Amino acid sequence: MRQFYAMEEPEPAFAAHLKAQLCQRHSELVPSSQKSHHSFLDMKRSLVQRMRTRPIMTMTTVILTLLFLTGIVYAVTRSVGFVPEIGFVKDVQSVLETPVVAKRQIMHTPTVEPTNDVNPSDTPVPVTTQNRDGITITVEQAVAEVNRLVIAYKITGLPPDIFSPERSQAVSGEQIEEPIPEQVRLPDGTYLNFMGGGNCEGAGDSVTSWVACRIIFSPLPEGLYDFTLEIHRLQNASPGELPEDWQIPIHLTPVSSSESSAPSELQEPDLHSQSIEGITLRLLKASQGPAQTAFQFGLEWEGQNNIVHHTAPITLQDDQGRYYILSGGLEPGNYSSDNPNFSTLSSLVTVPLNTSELLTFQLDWITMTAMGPTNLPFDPGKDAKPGQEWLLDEKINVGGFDLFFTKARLKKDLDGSITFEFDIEAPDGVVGVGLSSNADSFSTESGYDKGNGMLVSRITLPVLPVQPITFQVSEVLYKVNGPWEITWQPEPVNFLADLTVTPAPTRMPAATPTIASDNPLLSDLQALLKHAEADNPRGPGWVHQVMEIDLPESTNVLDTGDLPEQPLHTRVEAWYHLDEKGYVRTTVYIRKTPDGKFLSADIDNGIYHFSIPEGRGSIGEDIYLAKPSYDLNLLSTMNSYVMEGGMLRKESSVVDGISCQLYQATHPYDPPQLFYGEAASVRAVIYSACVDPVNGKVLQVQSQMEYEDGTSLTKGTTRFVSLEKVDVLPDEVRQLLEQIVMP
Amino acid sequence: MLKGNESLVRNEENIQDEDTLVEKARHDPDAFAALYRHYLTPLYRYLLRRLNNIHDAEDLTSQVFMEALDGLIAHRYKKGGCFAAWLFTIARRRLVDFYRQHPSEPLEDPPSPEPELLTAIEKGEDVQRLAHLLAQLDEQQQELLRLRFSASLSFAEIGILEGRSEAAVKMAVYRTLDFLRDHWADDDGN
Repeated sequence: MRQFYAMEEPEPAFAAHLKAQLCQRHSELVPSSQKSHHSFLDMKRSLVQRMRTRPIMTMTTVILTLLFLTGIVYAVTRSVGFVPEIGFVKDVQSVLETPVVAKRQIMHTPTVEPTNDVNPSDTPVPVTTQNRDGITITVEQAVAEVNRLVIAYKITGLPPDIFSPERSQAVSGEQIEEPIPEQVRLPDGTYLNFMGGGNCEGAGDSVTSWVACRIIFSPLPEGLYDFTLEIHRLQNASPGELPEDWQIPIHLTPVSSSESSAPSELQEPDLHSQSIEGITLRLLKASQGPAQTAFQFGLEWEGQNNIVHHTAPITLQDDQGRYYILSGGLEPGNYSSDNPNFSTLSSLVTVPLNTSELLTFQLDWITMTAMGPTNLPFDPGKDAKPGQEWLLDEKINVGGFDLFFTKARLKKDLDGSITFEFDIEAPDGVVGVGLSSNADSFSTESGYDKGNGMLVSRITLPVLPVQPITFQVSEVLYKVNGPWEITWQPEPVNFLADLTVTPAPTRMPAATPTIASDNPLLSDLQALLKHAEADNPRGPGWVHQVMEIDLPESTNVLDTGDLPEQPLHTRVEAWYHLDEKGYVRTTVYIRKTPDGKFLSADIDNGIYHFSIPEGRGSIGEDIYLAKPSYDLNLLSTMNSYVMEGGMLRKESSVVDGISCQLYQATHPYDPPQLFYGEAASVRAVIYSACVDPVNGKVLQVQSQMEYEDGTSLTKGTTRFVSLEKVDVLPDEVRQLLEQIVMP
Repeated sequence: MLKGNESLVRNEENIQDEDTLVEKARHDPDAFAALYRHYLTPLYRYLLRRLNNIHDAEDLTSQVFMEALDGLIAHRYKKGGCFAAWLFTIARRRLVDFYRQHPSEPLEDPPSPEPELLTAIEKGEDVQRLAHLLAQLDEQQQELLRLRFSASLSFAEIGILEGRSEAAVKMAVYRTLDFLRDHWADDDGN
């Protein structure tokens, strides 16, 4: 039976291609560790939660918000080229002219009024029902092309925590969610094929949540303009919790031949960069619209059995070196089934361009995968034990790279799994070596171990197998440095005069978190911090804060080469532009070495964000305004420790010769928890702050981990050096702001 | 070489480890790659059995993994569930969609091995006899065998997928094997 049913194997080339596609899609959907810049900013942001429901792009994009921000509404009936929320379109057959709105109320369970009647069955029982604000689904756009139907919809009025990770985990494990929540039903009762979802984004606060999604179906039959969008159950909702079985009729309007023959906004310039190590960047599509400008790139490369793994962000600059922020677009990258040496990259969007000067795209590096597999002749033997090491002398060639395996060691991990770790000497440019095994299940990781200065590859198995174990090298990741550059000239446009202007939405003040008032130390700290608040600089204008940050050497974390070198000691110069009410409108963080050498900068104006020199930008939605925090939101952080059951204590201390009150919040883990990158299980996380008892200024904050073995490690220290209002912005900051084209 | 899981037995420890792996896969591409390696061959074999066409099987395999990845990251897979059953539920939905798009291959007819499929199998006389016997089974019986031997699912996982108890699935599979065994000697390949 097994011979009959289980002889077939997928073609290796197919398997490898699919794996690469999945890897690329994963990196698009899940923020990479490069978001470390953003996480610092997120601490300063409003209380808006960003929730992930359906897959989203690495850089969150809210095209509709962009419409509002530019004050332009795009007329969708002339939709050839690029349609906001839909993507690149071509051969459009019909479109949704007016958004379709469906509303349903959320009914509470009927409640029975209490009664004193001794025979309740004889008396009608009064029942009250309570309605609360309901759910609204708005189908905002739908475009039927020859090859697909794309629908963009938004759901508002959802419960506030519906997309929180905690909620997702609380749902019964026995429930298996329907894989396809939306369907398109045709008038004859048949259904279109669901081809993919993507670009869902949501947000929420303590009152409500919303989500906006874009879904793709197989094309509508020719001449058909009516269908029903069916949504059985809203995402993350438990059965019966929210209105179900939505049936939303949609009618599309055919695009007349006169419209389709109108000048197309879709350009297919087919420009390409110089070839570097056989790799060429191509600009495949460009679409200039009144709401945004969209691009799609492709990569072509030489050689066999190699594919693109991931790339640096692509940047766009004018001839004065100013950046246009490129944010992730709606179209995902794809490998070509016809050409194994070609793939498209995710589409990118930026502001509407009303310039005709030359612009330059630049891509700084690409990580490629050279595919194996090649056997690794290493047999740990039957009696291998954790702690054991083997000296190796194995040289193998994978994808044209000579890899020299010099050592192996067997470790037992804290969760009981075991890891084989190999030291590898590899040519320059190799940033990772992927392993595989004949074991039933395993996980792998690879990168540079800064601790021993070696390229390391690890393979983790749940237990030490009893059968002979074999290893293979499945792939080699190598980095190719560019830059690849493409120069492009936008076409002259005149659409700005023809369209309706919509005012930008009003940004609202963020809610103030509720402090646990029954904790006397927390109240004590709050009162002390209020002293400092009274002396803080006020708006309007620029406020300058200097901090010094110390980080420990990271151990056990492998460097894949994607991030620039992170020094352990940095000086951060933060600049906040406050409005007349004291809300932060623009933030500039500049990181330098202790002796003042520029490292990087993050610029954020609540709508746009950009990092220099990384060149990664996003167009995000920050609908809340916040007052500045000059103490890394200390009170809020301490409050969250207390609210989660942590302990707060206070004692006298000294920092840099200055007496202070040390407030220390401890979050215990019982049993101790193993966190990635930590050498031992963590029994407590501690956050402490030294506060001047006279003026309430925070001198220093520190985070530490206490381990199960009794040791502890300081994970980060931030010293607050200075805080002042400035009248004139220094040239350095002004030049950074001027480097970015922000509407 | 990317290998499928050839073990038909998934013990409790493996399942717990898979829970951890699935959780990690939401944010760790290497963890998802591990799931991919684990399920690629069983999924591919199952789809190839259903479609009898390598190109179609590759297409649907791609679609299923893409959708599974999207679904994992979007928390459409609930922690503590049965990942294998969820994955093959997606596969079955894709198959339904495929059959809708290709109505010349009606759902009810049991697929028969195409020459290209048989080419991949050792053309022993026993194998051909087995193929002939299998063609006499009803669709439900054939599906159980595909899930058990092509997809390498456990009885419990098949039960979740089919909405039946593990014991009922076990009984159904063993009865089918008994049928094949009983008719093995009688069948003369006609």
